[in-house]
Amino acid sequence: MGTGVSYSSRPWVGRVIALACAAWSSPALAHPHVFVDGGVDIVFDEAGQITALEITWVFDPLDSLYQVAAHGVSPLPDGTLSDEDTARMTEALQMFPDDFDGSAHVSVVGVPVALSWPEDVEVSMVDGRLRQAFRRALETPLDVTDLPVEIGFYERTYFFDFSITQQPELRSAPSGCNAAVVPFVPETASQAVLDMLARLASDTAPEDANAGALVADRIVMTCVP
Amino acid sequence: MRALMWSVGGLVAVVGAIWLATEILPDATAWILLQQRAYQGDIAEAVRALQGGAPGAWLTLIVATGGYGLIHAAGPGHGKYLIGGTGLASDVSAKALLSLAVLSSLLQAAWAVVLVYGGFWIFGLIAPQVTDLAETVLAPASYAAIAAIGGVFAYRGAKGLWRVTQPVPQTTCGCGHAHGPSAEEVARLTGWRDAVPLVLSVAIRPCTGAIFLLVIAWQLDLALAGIVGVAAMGLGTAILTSGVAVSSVAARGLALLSSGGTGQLSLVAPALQIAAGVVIAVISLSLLRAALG
Repeated sequence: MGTGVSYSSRPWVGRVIALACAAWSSPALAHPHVFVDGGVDIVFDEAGQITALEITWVFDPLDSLYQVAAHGVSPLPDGTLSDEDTARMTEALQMFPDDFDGSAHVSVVGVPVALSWPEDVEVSMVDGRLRQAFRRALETPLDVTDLPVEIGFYERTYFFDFSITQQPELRSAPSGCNAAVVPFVPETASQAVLDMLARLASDTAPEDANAGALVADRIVMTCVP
Repeated sequence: MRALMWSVGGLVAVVGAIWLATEILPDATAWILLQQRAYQGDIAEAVRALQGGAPGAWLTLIVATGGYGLIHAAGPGHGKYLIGGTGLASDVSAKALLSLAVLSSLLQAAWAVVLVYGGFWIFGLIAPQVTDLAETVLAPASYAAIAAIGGVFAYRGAKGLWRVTQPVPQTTCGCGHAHGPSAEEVARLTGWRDAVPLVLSVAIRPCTGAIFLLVIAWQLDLALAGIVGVAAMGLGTAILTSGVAVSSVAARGLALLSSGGTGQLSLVAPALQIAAGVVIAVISLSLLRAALG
């Protein structure tokens, strides 16, 4: 923060003030309000090119209740929705905000790949958790033979904390394709990332506009013929 | 009675120390997130159990919402830095600052209830309108109010510093410096006039978690559970801000003590006040900028 007051010949006073400033200047502790589990499946065409991603979100139980309640819907006692309410929630969750960044960030050899707007939205509730799945086509189908593909599962501002909890399915993939989940592990993160994490504040926008990317779970896929 | 007071004081000091540790240790972030997530899950579970008519779920709800309030308050907001800054800036007693910390947390909870239930019942608002009001109007208003209080602290400190550095010719005591006529007076938190804006500036902005719970409770016809849960959340928050309150008063005491006997006491108090005021204002303004941006 740089507001340390260099007052006083008494080192104690300076130290107390410096400590207080240090404690405050890291309005610490990321705390996203929403936790989302799920994952990304990868869809191939007959030519062995990637054509689309199928993304699944499973909201945390509290946010699931909030989302349905905010739309005037109550879950049934068994934690599911009636058909009518399912239709209502599906209708409500068709809309994505203009600045929606998709939660699946694909790159091939480190180069970002453009995705089209979400389509085929499906919504259901299982055991009190709202599940939303949708499809994002690649704007151009991509042959990734011998090229490493990486998919980050995150939302940039880190208000939503995404975790990959399901193994990626490779649909109609040519043989030789393999995908693995690389979870974010704080213990192996760089000090810079840990510092950023400590400064994060979900009550406001984080300083780093791309904070979510730094703490993301990732899928790494390779296709070797 | 005294033993009880000491135990409560000890507990609060421990919580304060934990808070300080989590502020400084980034590794704690992952732990906090894990806890927050677990409490959110427990709250949801308790609400669903109450929906199913399980009476034992009340206790689960209170424990989960209280824990959530405590953990969540370790993050920014909730007036923690204002309370801490006040402890450093003024000669408020630990007891008085504790009361302010608890009062602001509970009032914040009560205001969330009024806002959500009142908004739904009287004005026919829907959930997105309430959250929008909280985020776009009340949060910036809270930051602005807190920044203003920081400004007042800094101004008073500057005034105090100016006064004590003025020569006072008629009262030379031979101890080598001018006696500040009112440094301590200036630093004093002057009763209700100061306490009310302090409490209101924190309470005006409802916690997002509280709004979530109230919206859910309203929809599920569990209005009372919403009130009980949010009150417990406020108490959890109060425990943490109380820890900050006690720590800050102790830190001020240390700072003044270490300067005692050297004749600099009258300088330290206003200097602390300026520093705390500036820090409060700077943090609030950066939060305000982020909230408006």
